[in-house]
Amino acid sequence: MDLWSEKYRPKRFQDLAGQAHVATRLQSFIDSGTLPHLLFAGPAGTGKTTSALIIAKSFFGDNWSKNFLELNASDERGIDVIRVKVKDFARTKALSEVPFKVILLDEADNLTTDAQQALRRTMEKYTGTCRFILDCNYPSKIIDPIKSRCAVFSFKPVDAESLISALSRVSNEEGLRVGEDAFKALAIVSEGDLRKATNLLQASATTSKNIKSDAIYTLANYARPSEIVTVLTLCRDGDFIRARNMLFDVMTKYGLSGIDVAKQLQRRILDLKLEQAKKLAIISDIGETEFRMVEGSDPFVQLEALLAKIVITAAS
Amino acid sequence: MTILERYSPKHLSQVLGNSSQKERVLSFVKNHGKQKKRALLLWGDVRTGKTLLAHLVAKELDMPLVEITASDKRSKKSVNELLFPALTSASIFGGKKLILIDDIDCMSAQDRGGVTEVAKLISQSPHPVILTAQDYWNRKLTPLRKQVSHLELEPIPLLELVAYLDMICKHEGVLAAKDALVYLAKERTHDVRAALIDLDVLLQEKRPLTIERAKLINPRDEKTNLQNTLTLMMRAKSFEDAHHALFNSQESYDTVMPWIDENIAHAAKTRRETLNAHDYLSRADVFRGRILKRQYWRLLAYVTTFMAAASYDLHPKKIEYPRKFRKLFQFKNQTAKARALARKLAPILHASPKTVQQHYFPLLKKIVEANKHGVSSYGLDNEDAAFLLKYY
Repeated sequence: MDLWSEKYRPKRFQDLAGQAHVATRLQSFIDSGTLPHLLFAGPAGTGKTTSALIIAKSFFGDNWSKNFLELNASDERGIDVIRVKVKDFARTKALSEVPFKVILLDEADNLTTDAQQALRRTMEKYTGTCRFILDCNYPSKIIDPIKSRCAVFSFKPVDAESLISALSRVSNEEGLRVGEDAFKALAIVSEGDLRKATNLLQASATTSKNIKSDAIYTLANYARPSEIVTVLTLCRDGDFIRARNMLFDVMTKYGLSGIDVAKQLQRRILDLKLEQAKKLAIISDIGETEFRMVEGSDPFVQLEALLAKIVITAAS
Repeated sequence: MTILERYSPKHLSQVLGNSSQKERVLSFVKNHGKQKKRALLLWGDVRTGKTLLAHLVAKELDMPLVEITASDKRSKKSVNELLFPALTSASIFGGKKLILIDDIDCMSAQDRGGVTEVAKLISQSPHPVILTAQDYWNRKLTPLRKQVSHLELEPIPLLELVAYLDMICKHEGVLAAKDALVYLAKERTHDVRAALIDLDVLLQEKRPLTIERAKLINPRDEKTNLQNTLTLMMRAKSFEDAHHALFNSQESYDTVMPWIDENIAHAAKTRRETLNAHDYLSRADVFRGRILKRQYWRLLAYVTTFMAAASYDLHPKKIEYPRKFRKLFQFKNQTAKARALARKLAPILHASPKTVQQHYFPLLKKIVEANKHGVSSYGLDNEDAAFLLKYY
């Protein structure tokens, strides 16, 4: 795989960027040959999946892929699918001297409370043959009975220094020339997300081996749908119908969730030409909308109400 | 004999529309064994004539047709039982058969293993296999997609259907107004079968067919009910009246909601009115979400109340069709393809399909733009590359 985020995915805990506090403790599990259930919490691109892969490869060596199952809570619709897959995987014995297999459940906080209860029973049932590693962004969304069965590790956004040193390793290997300000730009726009930073670096390397900071900033904007800004501008100018039509198209085209859009709006509103007080009022409305989306069923209906509100606020 | 029986196509040449598709199906069946793919998937909306085409191709080539339909149980075991005799008897009589597996995407959860089993049988079948489905990108078809070539059928063009209806009327000796026939064809959304059934009823009286008569016979109930409900709700003077209209309607709140959603902004006189109505609708949606998550149906009263609050006193000039439905249909293939690609790359990148779509697609597009020739080392084939270039 020639995607750099994959190609340069760390293979040892020593190389894991910016998570020294976690890495040493995880390494000790490998050294002792024991493993509890684990809960990895932290934002995207901080090394949760990488750590799980390092653990699997260290425990099982070349046989790792036979003894390691990756599941995605948000994709594998429903806990039943997970249960079937887990059952099939867990009922055979591990193909190595290690007495257990490892299951990685990604985005575990996307499971409903009911699904988590079911998962908890599954975990108990197969605890003799399987170890679970649960990945999540928000540990508060994981129910207590699961948390109490896991050793919890919090991953932090990768600090600028570690991020830049990881990126410079990549750029050396790939023969790029990256200026100091370009590295800084990568650190700023990626907000501690190493995967995002690596992807940005590779995207800008498709045009030139000589990486400049302004190229990074342009690309970072490119990676976010620019239509969101247009939607806001349309609202400010009072064209509600066009704004909501455009928003619907963007969401459908890019597969954005309502929460993604709220996040974008909240950032993009700052760039809009509007008085401070109005911006603040709108940000507060975005927050309220996000709350309603969590409770509601159709995020687009919620966002429409938000757009109508922005129209009024901007015109007042 | 009804008009439907009399005039439904008996020969391949009589089938309306889809002329290049007809040729491809024929050549697929004739050249079976010489091609790489052993099965052909016909897909397209209901009423595009997928099943009919398969039947007539068998007839045209004088081949026996073995058919498995949605009413058969299609678990792994039953697929085997149904298809096995067809497969083995070939060796006795020598001749080839056409195997039709209808509505493969309608296999239910009880038909576990069915699709995979079908895929296996296809790879062994000495006979050409035709499958039908409504949507090529349906997830259930994943095990099959590699094995089959596919062909989309299109709805019959309006004018062609009108001309056909016209021919029938002439043949039956009934004078028919052009606008009446266009109305029939349109109202039945290009569905030949439905249009023929309607025509049969209309031609019972040997009177000239006018648009007025056509409209009498063919009010589609669902539409009038929905239109009525919406009109009553949006013309109501108070939210209680609007609620009453919704309560007395046969339409479920789920059907009505997108229509209200679409029409608020078109009908509202002021921005404030737009905001108020959308805010009420958003409250209705919050309660709807709570019902779905907790299955606590008593909350339904709040959903309908706030829907009524969102709709009353708007007085639309005309009720607009929800743009959302049109767009979803328009984007359908595109989103399905995007999801399929994301799902393919997800295991390689150790990320969820959603992450792949959001974080890797923009990068992959850049990469495709930069390397016109080799993208296989990024896990992409040419089709994927073209897709990324076009849509991202």
